[in-house]
Amino acid sequence: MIIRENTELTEYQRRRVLERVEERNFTCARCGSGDFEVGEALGMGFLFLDEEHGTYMVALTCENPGCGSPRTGIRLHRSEFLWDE
Amino acid sequence: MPELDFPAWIRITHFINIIFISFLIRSGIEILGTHPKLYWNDDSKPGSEWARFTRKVMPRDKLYDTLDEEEDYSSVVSMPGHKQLGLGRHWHFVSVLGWILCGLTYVILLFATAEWHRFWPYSWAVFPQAFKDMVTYLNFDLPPTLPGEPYNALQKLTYGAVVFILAPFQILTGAAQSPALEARFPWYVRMFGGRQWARSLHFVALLAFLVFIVIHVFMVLVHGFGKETAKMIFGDEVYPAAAAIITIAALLGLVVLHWAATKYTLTRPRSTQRILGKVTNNTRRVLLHRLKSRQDYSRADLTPEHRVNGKPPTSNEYKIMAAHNFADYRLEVAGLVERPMTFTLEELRTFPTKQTQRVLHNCVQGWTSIGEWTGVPLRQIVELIRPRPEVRYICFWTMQDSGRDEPSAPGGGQFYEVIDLHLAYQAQTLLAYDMNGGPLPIKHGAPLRLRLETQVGFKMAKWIERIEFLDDYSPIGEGMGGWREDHVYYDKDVGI
Repeated sequence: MIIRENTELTEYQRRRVLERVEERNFTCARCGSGDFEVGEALGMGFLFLDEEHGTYMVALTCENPGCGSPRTGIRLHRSEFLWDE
Repeated sequence: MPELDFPAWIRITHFINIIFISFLIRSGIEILGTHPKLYWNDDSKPGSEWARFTRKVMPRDKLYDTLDEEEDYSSVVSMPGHKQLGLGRHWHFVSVLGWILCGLTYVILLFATAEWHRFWPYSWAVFPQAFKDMVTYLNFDLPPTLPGEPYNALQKLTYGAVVFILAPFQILTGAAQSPALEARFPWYVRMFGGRQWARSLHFVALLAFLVFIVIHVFMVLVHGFGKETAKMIFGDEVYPAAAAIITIAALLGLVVLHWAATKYTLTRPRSTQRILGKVTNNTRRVLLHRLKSRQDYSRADLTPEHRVNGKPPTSNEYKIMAAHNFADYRLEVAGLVERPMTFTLEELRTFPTKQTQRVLHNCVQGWTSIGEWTGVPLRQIVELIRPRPEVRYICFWTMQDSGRDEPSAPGGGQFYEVIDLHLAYQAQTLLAYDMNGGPLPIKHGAPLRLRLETQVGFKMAKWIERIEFLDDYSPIGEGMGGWREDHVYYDKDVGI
């Protein structure tokens, strides 16, 4: 099941997300790992009062098999990842 | 025809009627102000309103809900004023009970005595005569009364229409706005053309009342203030000066009564909620609480863009969970039960019983939309967890923090609503995870919301994370049975 508000990302867009993860030194809050699988992106600007237009929560799943809470997310602006080649 | 006059019971009910109808009008304007738009369609589609009493313009690039559309009317025109829908509703329902009781007394006595003759048009000639009377008034003259009767032909027909057509029409269109009645008898609301037709017609009838009152008072002045008021005070055209003084004093008393009631309501809202609620809640429980929803709208009836109330939780945890399609969602069902349980969304979606219903959603503010909801009947969950014998209520805890997520809301804290246990056993009480054939949208309460079709919308908690079975809800929050009951003084049982 994919909720209506989520956008599926292309392989190219997923790579852009991983580049932003690396740039920001984003790590898993539970285990500290920096390896993630990229999932879908939730558009937040319209839905949430506290979010600016064009902001997304991109789903990341920690690839550390021992991680106790692997599902996390990174907040990105659409200009940072949502374009194609 | 017997001799007709103004017996004491006519004079007393006339006076009591003024009190109730003035409270009804002001509290009605308060209710209208919380969704100051009128429609001829049950979708309440933005922009399709035929009348609007607001200048607010809603944003197009940000989710807004109907709480943002509320207007803050002055206490001079609304009761109690200042966006107090809950308190306005208490006054409206108490006043309508008093008004109906007063009206019934009047009508019973009208027929128990010979006084009903005053309204009965014995001859077709009354109608052209009424037209002639109107022409006479327009020529700044006074038409004569009918032989042996207290009224002229125009008065006879107008008063008769107000008592036997306008007043019952207002009661019937008011009742047609009850979600419990609509859910149990969908044909009843369709009889008026739909729920929004009923609401619009209720407003048109209010205008008719206002026009009648203005002309009625004006005519009293034209016919002679002292002479006419004497009939309603002493029962005859005697002591006109005294009658005029008493009438003016009574009208001043009415103004003071309104002022005192408004002041008390605004300064002691909780106490107003408790006192008026005692009257209205008991009546509602007797008349509406056992009604069961039997709605089945067609696919063609579905509202293309179902309206929204409440704003989604803004916590990071919620946003991350949504980005992962709610894979980490857990519904905890606990409290006074034999078997506390936790469900994932997937478990709920693959529950043996899956139910879909197309129903009319009634917001407490007055708007409606028609939606299709799919989910697990709540009674199935109740049967699994087995509530203890002392359980009487179910509390739905949500992921919404009103202070954080709904800045215009007065007060903060976790949003919750309490319902009576027996409502869980109704066939159309549902924990919905789908809407209109797709996953439940975030703005409508994803991943899980309650559908309780005999109640108004605010009872149908959205973004549910925990269900708790209780024997008493008074220790929760302010103890009134829900966040809106605690903070905006709504009533807990809202079949109307």
